[in-house]
Amino acid sequence: MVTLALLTELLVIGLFLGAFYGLIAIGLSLVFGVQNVINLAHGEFVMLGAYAAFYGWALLSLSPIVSLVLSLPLLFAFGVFLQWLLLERINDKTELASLILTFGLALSLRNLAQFVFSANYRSIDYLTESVSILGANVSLNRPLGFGVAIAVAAAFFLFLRYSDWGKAIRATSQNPAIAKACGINTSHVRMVSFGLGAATAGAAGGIAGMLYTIYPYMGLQYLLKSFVVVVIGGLGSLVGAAIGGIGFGVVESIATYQLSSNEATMIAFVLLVVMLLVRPQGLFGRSDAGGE
Amino acid sequence: MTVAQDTSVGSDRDLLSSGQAWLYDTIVSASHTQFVGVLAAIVVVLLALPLVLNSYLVQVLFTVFLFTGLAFGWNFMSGFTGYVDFGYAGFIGFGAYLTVISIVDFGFPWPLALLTAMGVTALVGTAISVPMLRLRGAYFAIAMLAAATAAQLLASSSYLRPITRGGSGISFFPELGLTGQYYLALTIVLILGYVTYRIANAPFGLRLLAIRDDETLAASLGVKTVREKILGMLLHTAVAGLLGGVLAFNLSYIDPNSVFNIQYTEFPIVMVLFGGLGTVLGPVIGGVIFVVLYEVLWSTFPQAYQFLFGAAIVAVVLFMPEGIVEYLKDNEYIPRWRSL
Repeated sequence: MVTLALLTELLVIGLFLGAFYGLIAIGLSLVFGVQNVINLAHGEFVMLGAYAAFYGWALLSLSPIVSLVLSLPLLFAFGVFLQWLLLERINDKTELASLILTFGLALSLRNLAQFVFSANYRSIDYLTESVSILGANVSLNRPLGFGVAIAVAAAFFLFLRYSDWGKAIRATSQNPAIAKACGINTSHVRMVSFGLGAATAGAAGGIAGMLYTIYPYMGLQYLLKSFVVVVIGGLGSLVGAAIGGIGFGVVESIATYQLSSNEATMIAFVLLVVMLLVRPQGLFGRSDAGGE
Repeated sequence: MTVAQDTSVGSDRDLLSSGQAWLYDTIVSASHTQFVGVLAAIVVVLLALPLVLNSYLVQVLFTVFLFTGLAFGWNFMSGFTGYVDFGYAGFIGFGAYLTVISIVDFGFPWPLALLTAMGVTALVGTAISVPMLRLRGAYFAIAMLAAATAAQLLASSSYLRPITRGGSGISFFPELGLTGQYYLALTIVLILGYVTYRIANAPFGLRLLAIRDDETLAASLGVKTVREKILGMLLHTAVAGLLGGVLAFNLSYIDPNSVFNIQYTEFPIVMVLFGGLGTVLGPVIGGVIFVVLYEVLWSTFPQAYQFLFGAAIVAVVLFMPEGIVEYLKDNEYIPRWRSL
C-alpha cells in the first residue's frame, strides 16, 4: 500500500518530472496561441536540444547546464529561420496545412538527425549520485533538471510579461488583426514566438539528455505527452501548460509506480480524450477554442 | 536579348496551353462509353500484371493499392467533412487484430474474418468516435491521435495479453498468397473508387462538403450534421478494418508496433492532401505518386529517404496547398466536375 513516505517520494519525483513536461508544453502552447499552428515538429526541438547537450558534454566536456547557454540561442535562431522559410508562407492557409507541413518537417529533422548523429543510443553520465530530498531518494540530476526547467520557464514568463516583444506576442495571441492594426509587425512576432518555442523545447531537451536516453526518434513521445499537458491546461494558455505539466508529472509518477510505465502512458491518453470531451477548452483555456 | 526571352516564354506558354486544352477537351467531349472503355482497359492491364511481373513489383503494386484504399477510406470522413482524423492507424490496427484473432483462435475462413473485422471496426470505431465528433479542428485531431495511441498501448498491455499476446505479437500463416492479396486489394480499391465517385455526385457528398465549409450554416440549412458525420465515420472506419485485415495477411505477423504504426495514419493524410481533399481522383493520384516516390527514394537513398520524403511533404504544402486535383481544375487542365 502507499505509505506517506512513498507518497511524498512519488510527489517529489512527479514534481520534478512535471516541471520538465511543463517546459516542453509552454512552447507548444505559445506557438498555438500566436499563430494557431500545432507544431508536430516540437518534439524534434527537444531531440536537438538533447543532442546539443550530449555533444557539449562528450566533445567539449561541458556541463549540460553550460551547453544550454550555447544551444538556446542556436535553437532560437533555427526556430526563427524555420518560421521565416516555411510557416510564414502558409500563414493564411488552414490549420490542416500547417499540421501537415510540420509533420513533414518532423520527419525530415528526425531522419537528418539519424544521418548526422547516427541511430546509436546515447546518454550523459552527469551527476548521477543519489541525494535525499524530503525523504525521496533521487539522483542529483533530477533536482538540477527541475531547477533549470523552473529558471527557463521563469525567464520565459518574465520576458512575455515585461518586455516589449512579450507584450507584442501576447497582443498577437489575443487578436492578430487588431495587433497588426496597432502597428505590431505580426510576422516578426510569429518568428520570435516560434523561435522561443524551439528554444524552450531545446532547454527541455538538455534536461531530457541528462535524465533519459538520447536517440533521433525520441521527440515523438515528448510531443504526445506535451499534447496531454497542453490540452489539460487549455490550448494557448501558458499558465495552464505549466500547471498541467506538473499535474501530469505527479499523476504519471504515481501511475508508473502502481501499474507500469506503458499503462501509465495509456491512462494519460485516455485522460486526454475524456478531458477533451468534458472540457475541451482545458482548465485555463479560452472558451472560444473548441467544442460546439 | 529581352525580345528573345519573351518569345521563348510565349512559345512555352502556347505549348503548355495546347496540352492543357487537349486534356480538357478530351475529357469534356468523351462519351460515357469511352470513359468506361478506358477504365476497363486499365483494369485489364492491372489484372494481367501479376502474370508478368516479379514478386517485388507485385508487392509494390499491392502497397500502392493498400495505401490508395486507405486514402479513399480516410477521405470519406476527413476529406469530405474536414474532420481530420489523426488516429486512423488505431482502426487499422484494430481491424488487423480482429482478422488475425478470428482466424487463429476461432478458425474463421479468411473472407469471413475480413468481413467480421470490417463490421466490428465500423461499429466499435464509430461508437468511440461519436462523442469526439463534437470537437472541432485541431481538438478532434488530437483526440483521435490520443485514442489511437491508447489503443496501441492497450493492445500491448498485460490486461489484454490473453487475447492479443501483448508485445510479442501473433504470427500466422495467411491462406491467401501474395498474388491473391494483390487481386483482393485491387478489387477493394476499385469498389472504393466507385463508392467515392457515387458519393461525390450524390446529395450525401454535397452535405458532407457543406459540413466542411461551414458546419453551423449547413446545420441551419437543414443538414442533419450529426447523422451525416456518423455515416461518414462508418465508411471511414469500415475501410480501415477491412484493409487492416488485408495488411495483416501481407505481414503474416502482427504486433502492436507493426499494425498500429503511426505511418498508417500519416501516409493516407499526406496522400489525400497531395491529391485533393474530398475529390475522387485525389486519393488515387496521391496514393500512386507517394508509394512510388517512397519506393524510389528508399531504394536510391536508403540513408536519407525519410528526409527527402519529409521535404516532399513540405514542398507540397507550400506550393500546392489545395492538392493536385484542385490545381488542375483551377488551371483548366481538367473540367471542374465533382466526379473528378
